Formats: sequence, structure tokens, C-alpha cells
Amino acid sequence: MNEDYLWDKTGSDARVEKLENALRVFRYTPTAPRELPAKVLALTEKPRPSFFRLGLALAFASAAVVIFSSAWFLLPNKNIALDSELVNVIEPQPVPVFHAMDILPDPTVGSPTRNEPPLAGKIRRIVRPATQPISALAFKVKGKRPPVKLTDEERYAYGQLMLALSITSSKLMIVRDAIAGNAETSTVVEKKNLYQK
Amino acid sequence: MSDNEMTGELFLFAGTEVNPAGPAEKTGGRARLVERISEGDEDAFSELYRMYAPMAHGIVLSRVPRNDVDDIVQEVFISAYKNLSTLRDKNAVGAWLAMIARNKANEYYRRTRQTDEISDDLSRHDAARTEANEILDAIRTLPDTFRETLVLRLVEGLTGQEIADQTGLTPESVRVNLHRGMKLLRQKLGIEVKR
Repeated sequence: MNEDYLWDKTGSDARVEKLENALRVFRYTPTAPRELPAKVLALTEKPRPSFFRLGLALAFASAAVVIFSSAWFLLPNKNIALDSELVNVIEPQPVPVFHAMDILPDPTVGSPTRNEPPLAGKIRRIVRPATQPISALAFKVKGKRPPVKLTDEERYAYGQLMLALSITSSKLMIVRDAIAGNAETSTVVEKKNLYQK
Repeated sequence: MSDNEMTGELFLFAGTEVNPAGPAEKTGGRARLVERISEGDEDAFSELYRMYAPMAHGIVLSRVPRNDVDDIVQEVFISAYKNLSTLRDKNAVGAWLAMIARNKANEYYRRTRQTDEISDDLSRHDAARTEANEILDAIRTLPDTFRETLVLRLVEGLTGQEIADQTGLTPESVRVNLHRGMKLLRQKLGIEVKR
């Protein structure tokens, strides 16, 4: 056997040549490669990790967090208005005081503080902007409240309650005057003693 | 025993040894070819196909029935195209394709039921083809390393050096495989003749 012919076809070897000629029928016949489907072409291009896209996504996420947190702290509470434009300082006004003597006047018992205006400092009142409809700020009251109709028993109970309150109020005032050393106290006491007699 | 036969004994188990180095111009050209394919150049893929299709055909033919060889060769190249990104050493694209061809041939037997191949001489009484079938059948009975190298040499007409370049085997391994394979084949054919 000619080794050179078997290796690189130099020289000649009848046996090997005979085998070659016999097996030539199975030799590969050049054909075009099968057309690659588009899907295969797409699959070959593997997506590479994009740092730009990652950075962009992080930036969006950070911006969203900042916006939501800012909105959370800046949105006004329903019960508290922080806007200084919405707050006006108004001067104190005399406030009508309910006094027990108005209900059950007793000429013998005087109140030195009756006509004095109540103590009041500066009152802050929230004034909402005029552009805002009032209907949106307050509950609409449809119709007037129907007048309360009291039965005789209720009316009697109401009168008794008012009487008790007035008595309590007057006694409290006596105590207060006694503590303050008011002169009228003795008069009241004398009057009371007179009634007891 | 001749020197060559002694050398053959030494390299008997060197059949799968890969030849990492090759002519610089060839290896550089192959790497560039693979890069072009990775960039989507279909012409480069056609060039790769023309270069390695005979090698893949020979490897598959040494294992698979002839009727299915062409389809499997196509599968080899489609698979290579899909998985080109997994190829680490772009210069070893030939060895990589050879490995894919071997795997596809093995896969063929896993997915299909073992059937007897109908020889062509049943349909046409061609003496030459009958002889060719007998020789090919005899080659297929040889060990893998021998039959693959012999098919590439005798059927595909590649020289020993071309087989080494394309399959990634060392030239010494190819030489040994050719020599020992031919020796075994002669024995096989001689036994059959005697019958």
C-alpha cells in the first residue's frame, strides 16, 4: 500500500484508487445551504445587557419615588390649611355669653363680671379662597330643621333642668365672690337669713 | 512491522486529539469568518457551509443511512448557526462543526426506530452501486475514529492534511487512523470476498 497516496494523493495506489472510484457515488454534491428562517436569524442575535437602558430605568424609578414622596408631604391635610394666604388674623369680637341670670333673673344676686367682655386673644380663623364654591366646603342643609315639639312632661323636665342649672350657677358665683372678698356676699347672706326667718 | 505501523500503534488512542494550532492564515481567516457570521453576514455563512459541508457529510455518512444524510447535514449547520455564540475558540470552528455532526448522527438514532436500510440494488441492479454499498457497509463496521477518517478520505476525497485541518485532529492522528483503518477495511473486504 502506498502510504503517500493514502495521505496526500501523491503517487499511485491501485487498491485505494479502486475504492475511491467505487465510493465516489456517495460523495457530497455541493448544494446551497438551506435558507435560514428569519426566526433563526433573530435568535442568533442575543440581546446584550444594555447599561444605558438599565440607567434609564433606574433614573425613572428614582424620579417616581421623589415625585410620590414630595406629593405625599406637600398635599394639604383636609383639616389643616398650611397656606398662609388662606389664614387671616381677625380682631376679637365680643362673644355673647349665656348667663344663668338671663333665664332665671334674680335681682338679689349680682354678677360683677356680667357686662365685662370675655377674655379672648387673637383668633385665627381659616378663610377659604373665594373662588372655591361654598357648596363644596360645607354640607348643604336642605330645608330648615323642624321645630321641636315638646310634650308637657318634657317641658316640665326642661324647666327643672334650667332651674337646677341656674341654682348651681348662682351658688358657684357666691363661692367665687366669697373667695374674692366681695361686699355683696354679706348682703346675699343676710337676705338669705332674712328669708329663712 | 513497519515504522508506520509502529507509529500507528502509538497513536491508536489519539483519535480525538484536537489540533489547536494550524496555519496562521487559515486560523485567522476562520475566526474572521465566524465573526462575520456573528455580525449577520449570510454570505459568510454560505462560505462556511461550502468549506465544511463535505466534512460534515462524511462524518454523518459514516454513521447514518444515506437517505437521511443530507437532512442531517442541514440540521448540523442550522444548529451551528443558532449556537454560534457558544463557540469560544473561533479558530476551532471545524472541530466544533464535527462535534455537532457526530451529536446529530447520534441523536438520529435516539429519535428514530432502528430500521434496516433498503439498499439501492433493490430498485436498480447497478453493479457499481452494489459494490459501493458493500464497501461503505464494511467501513461502517469499523470503529468510529477509523470509519470517519476513511469516509472523509475515500468518499469525500479529502487529503490527510485537509481532514486534520477541518476536523481539528492532529495530522499524526489522521495518518494513523487512515493507515489502521485501511488495514482493517482490507481485512473486512478480503473476508467477504472469500465468502
